[in-house]
Amino acid sequence: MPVENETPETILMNRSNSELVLSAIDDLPMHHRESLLLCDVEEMSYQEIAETLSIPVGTVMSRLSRARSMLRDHLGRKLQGDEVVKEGKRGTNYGL
Amino acid sequence: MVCESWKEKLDAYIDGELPEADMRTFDAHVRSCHPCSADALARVQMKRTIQVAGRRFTPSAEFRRRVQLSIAPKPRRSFGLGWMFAVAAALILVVGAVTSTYVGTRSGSGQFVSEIADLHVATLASSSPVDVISTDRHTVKPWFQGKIPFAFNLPELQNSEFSLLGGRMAYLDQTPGAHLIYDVRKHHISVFVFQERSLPAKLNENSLSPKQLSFNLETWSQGGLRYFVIGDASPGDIDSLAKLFKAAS
Repeated sequence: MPVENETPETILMNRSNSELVLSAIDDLPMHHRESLLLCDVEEMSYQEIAETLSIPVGTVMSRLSRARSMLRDHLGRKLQGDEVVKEGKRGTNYGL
Repeated sequence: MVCESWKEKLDAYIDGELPEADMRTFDAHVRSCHPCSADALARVQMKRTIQVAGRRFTPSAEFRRRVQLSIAPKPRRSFGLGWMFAVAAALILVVGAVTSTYVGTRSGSGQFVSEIADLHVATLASSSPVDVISTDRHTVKPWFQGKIPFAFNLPELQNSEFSLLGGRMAYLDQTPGAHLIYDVRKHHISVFVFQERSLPAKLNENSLSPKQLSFNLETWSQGGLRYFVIGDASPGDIDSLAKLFKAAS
């Protein structure tokens, strides 16, 4: 059972990851964010999203593709930035 | 199987939106192709992380009641985790969005361009994106004879980075037109040509800023024809291809 594998550390790590992703989702343009949340969180089909937002299915597909691409880029930059900060801090510690 | 042709369908595969036959073919391919398998796994993990993050949106009881009244029960899909609360939660953003600027700012031009983007994406997602497959403009152009009520010129591509992949029919607001697909450094660019007078509304080209689109787009009217050049290539590439068409027309 997954629950049995959860420790305070993994719970904290998952929560931290969720906050990172949540922040990245918040930064998405509104049209892309709404399509992504309807698909991945609400688990609507493309057709259902199209009907909900009154847009063609092709637009749903393009927005989802773009949203995920932007999310990957955002998270990639964020993680790279974190690495740089960590290395910077590490360097400072070594200097001391 | 060429992996690149499947990359564009990977999201639809992860979302369970491919036709059943394609799903089976893709399943078999992913099992035997390490890069596609790794890519698919990464996207599934991202999807699940988004699901977890989406839990954090907690709607009020009143809002949840209103949403539950307004939506019909929907069948769960293969990647479902039973997120009843998240259903209402995600709609907070959607309803907020719709009531604020989304609907209000959608213009006729925006809707038009949205349709063009749809045609472009749907074509690239298709297993047979072009009906006439040729890099020769003297083969592609005659293919449209008798299929569309106008003629147009295709540019000479020698000494350019663009290559013609082929063409197909396109329909915009029930108006037939030509859809040509070009390749530049592995980016696919669609060029649509329609009769200007057949289109229902005059486009405000100034309103079509890139921020409104997921793609780069250039459109212009020339010789009674309306041209659209759209793709995920750089604005410079889109502009270069547009200039070639303008010079040829």
